[in-house]
Amino acid sequence: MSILLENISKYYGTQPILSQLSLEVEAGELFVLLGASGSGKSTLLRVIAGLTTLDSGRVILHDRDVTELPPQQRAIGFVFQNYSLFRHMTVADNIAFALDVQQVARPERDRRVTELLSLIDLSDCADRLPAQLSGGQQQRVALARALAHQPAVLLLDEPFGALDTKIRIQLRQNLRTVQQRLGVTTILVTHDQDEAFELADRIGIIEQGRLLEIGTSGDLYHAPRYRYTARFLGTTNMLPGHWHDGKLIVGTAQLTAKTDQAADSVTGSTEIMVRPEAIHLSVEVPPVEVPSGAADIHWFGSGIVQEITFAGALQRVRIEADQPDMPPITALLSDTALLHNTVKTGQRVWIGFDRFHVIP
Amino acid sequence: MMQTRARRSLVPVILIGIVALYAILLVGVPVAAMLQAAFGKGITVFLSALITPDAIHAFAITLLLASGACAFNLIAGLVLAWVLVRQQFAGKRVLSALVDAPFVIAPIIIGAVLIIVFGRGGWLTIPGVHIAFALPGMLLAMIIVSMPFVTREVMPVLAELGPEQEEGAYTLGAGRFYTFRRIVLPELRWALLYGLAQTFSRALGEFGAIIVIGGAIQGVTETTTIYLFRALDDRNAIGAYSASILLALLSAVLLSIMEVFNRRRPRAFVTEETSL
Repeated sequence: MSILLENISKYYGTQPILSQLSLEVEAGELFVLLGASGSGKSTLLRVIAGLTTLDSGRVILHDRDVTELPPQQRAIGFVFQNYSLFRHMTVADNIAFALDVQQVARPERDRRVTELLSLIDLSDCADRLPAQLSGGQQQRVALARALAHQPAVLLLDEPFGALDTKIRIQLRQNLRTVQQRLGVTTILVTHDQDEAFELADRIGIIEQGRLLEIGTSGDLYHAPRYRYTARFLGTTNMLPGHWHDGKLIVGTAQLTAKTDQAADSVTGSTEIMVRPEAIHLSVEVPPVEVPSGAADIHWFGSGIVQEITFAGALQRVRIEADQPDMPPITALLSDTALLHNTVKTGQRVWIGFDRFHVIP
Repeated sequence: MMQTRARRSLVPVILIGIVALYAILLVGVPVAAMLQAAFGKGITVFLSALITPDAIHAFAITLLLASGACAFNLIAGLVLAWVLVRQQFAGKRVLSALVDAPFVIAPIIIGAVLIIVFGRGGWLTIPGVHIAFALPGMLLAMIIVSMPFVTREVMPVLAELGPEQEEGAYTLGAGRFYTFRRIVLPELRWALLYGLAQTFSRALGEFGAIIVIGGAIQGVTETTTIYLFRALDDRNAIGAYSASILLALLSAVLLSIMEVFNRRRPRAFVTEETSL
């Protein structure tokens, strides 16, 4: 186990920032801590780095208890949100800083700096000052600087937060390539779920200082254990339902929930999660002819289309359901699907879904 | 409308004229009078007045004490700035206000307080160690009156720098002193030098505090400003104005040096009134 956190707690006064948080990260893994602003993710990263003391718990890095050790002795690399490059030093000197601290011989120092500059594709920027670089270039220098001393653990605190979308996408790919090539155990903290989905081997959802759940991108997106996770990761429709005679009733639909989806099948109320891309709309009264090979569509109600919003490759459709206990429904449809159904604002449509998940 | 436009364009001209007149009356005329008084009997007399034993001793004492004040306030000012910016503790605001006390307390009062503390029968007298009416007391007075400058110049730069640069260095294996030397000090250097130049300038011109604590003993505790004061009292106009010219020249040099340091500070901290 490369990183082991045991019951980490941190308070500011009486306010809990981290609450009995435990986590294990495998060697070579890129683990993403995903949470809203103020959830405690940056504080957790700083605790691992030794930049913030903890009130209880242990931090173990590569089988070494570093809880009482200062940052200098933890063999970590840290990339700050605003990079924190040393303003008066050139790019090369920034990258070489850790090597200078270790008094690495000049030839080896220069070789390592050249190697890292090549890795981040900034070989022609060695003599520039940070102020002469773009945001994306500064981020790459910060990464190279954090890797120069070959740390056992790499920590990144929202490293792409200050950059525009296109640069962010490019740099994510760079980071993934570098991390995989070096095999360094990495924890990245972000509030951006697209970033988490793209980079993570596993994602941990953090909420109010507690690690809510951990899983792969697909697991958390399609089958979250908690409502918070369902709502936090993308748009979701939380539809009320109730159990009756072993069947799940949602609106006018009767579902046979799979055993592994239902925490229990006793009678009672529950909620199901339906992602917008799983929603189907029809202007004709169901049952409509389902093409062979298509998934079952569970038609559960009807409503009036309130709004159709352009969302790039898809259109976002908001429907006000007829049933009073149903929340507004959000669907993501392609242009073709909209055209096929001739769905327009103000139109009455029938609403169904082909995939759902019961929140335990 | 034409009349209004003409009136508007006259206002800046009038203001500039007033400021120019102010500068001439308050600076130009006294300087001209000083030059006339110093060189009125020829340059040889002027130079002779400067190389009298008392004048040379006074100048040497002035430089020695001003340098001592700079050396002490370099360290003390840095430490104070660090504590006030980076640390949280009870009484922080009081300490911050005390740093500025020399700006508001009359220097003569500082001298008087030092006499009470270190004079004969004072609170802190050490047998065999002369503080009052001796150079140590004068040094102490100069340190106190020039204390705020380094601290006040360094504090905003330190605050703007923030702790993350240092934290970055720590994560890269650097200890505290190494981090201070390689990361923090280079960022502070121009503010530090600017503060030191202000400290030196202030120490150079100090009079009220040091005449009280030093006693103005001729040839012993007499700085250039005290020598100037005594020369005026003795109707030694050449001596007085020669010393004035020397101090004015030193001040002009210091001002130029300060301007160089000021321009090299981070843009947000450049004081425009001193930039050319």
